[in-house]
Amino acid sequence: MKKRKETLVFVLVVLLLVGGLMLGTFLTKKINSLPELPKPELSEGQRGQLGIDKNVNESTIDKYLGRKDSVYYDIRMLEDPANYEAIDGDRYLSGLVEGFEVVPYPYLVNVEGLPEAVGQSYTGATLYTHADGKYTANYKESKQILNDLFPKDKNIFLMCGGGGYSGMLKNMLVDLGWDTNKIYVVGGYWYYDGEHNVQIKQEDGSYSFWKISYHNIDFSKLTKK
Amino acid sequence: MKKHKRAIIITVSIVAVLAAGLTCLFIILANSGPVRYSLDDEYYATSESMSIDHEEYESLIDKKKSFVILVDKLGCIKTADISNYFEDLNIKYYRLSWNETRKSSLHDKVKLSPSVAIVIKGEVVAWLRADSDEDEPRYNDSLAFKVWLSEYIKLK
Repeated sequence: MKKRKETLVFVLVVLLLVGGLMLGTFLTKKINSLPELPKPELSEGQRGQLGIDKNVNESTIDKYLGRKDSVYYDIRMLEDPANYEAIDGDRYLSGLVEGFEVVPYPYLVNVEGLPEAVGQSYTGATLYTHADGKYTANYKESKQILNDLFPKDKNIFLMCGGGGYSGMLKNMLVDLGWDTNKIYVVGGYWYYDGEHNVQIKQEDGSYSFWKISYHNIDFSKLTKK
Repeated sequence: MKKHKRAIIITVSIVAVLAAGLTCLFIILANSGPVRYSLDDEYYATSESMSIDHEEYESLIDKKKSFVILVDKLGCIKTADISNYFEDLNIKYYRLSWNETRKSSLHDKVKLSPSVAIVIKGEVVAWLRADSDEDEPRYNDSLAFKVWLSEYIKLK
């Protein structure tokens, strides 16, 4: 009788342990698993012309932040020579969405198609030149830099001020061999109204650029092709 | 028998009249589009725009004015300039920058720029959406824009 009781208790304890382990594994998996991302889909109307995504954009990006399987880039310059104030924009990177790192699009390729009122953006060295429909690398390291910044096995979220640069960068990456289904054109920070704003411009008019994870490209250290 | 016959005739007549009335109502409702409003008189007979800020906009709303307002475009890339479409319309309209729009109650409805909103007696009754395929032609074609506008307001 005693032996039976002991056996029963032993079996119960083992069952509890196994059950607890299984529950723990299940819960851990549930907490760590990432919600599925919708496939990139062009927005309708005018926004679609800029390449902005229908489902992953300024109004929904908060749901997709902080993913380990993704990289997030705001591709504005800290201070753009272009006069974005002429179109009610902001030449300074006065704020950005939390989790977005910065690498200036005008350093990646020559900027084209800006409204006349804005004038010219940065015209210095670039990793690539876009001309006659082709992207040509200007430096031996150009492709490697893009590969490092925009890993092909990650989802890539792109933002800028009004949405234009982001769409252009996606076009460039896809042309150079990136998977279009892994790149999301989130749109423009100037439309962002979410909960994860990082304010760079302060009330006294100064800019706290040190808050930004900024990727500098020192062209003097690269090998011209 | 006579009484019974009369009752039937009256009942059938009532049913016929009701059916006819309902059919007419149905046809009218099915064919009715947006109601066409008039702007306040001061906005007619002149082709000009006036830039305002969010406080001036709220003041117009409080005064229950009827007007058209353009939310200026905000974008890095050239898009069609819908402000050009107002040239032949002979109406005065307001312009609100995107930054001012965000501070105003207009932002409750207009979430993207550029846009044109129609305000009647202080209520936003219609606006163009930059993320709508249906509105896309109205951004790119002056005639499509005029047709849309004239669906809501009387153009003189």
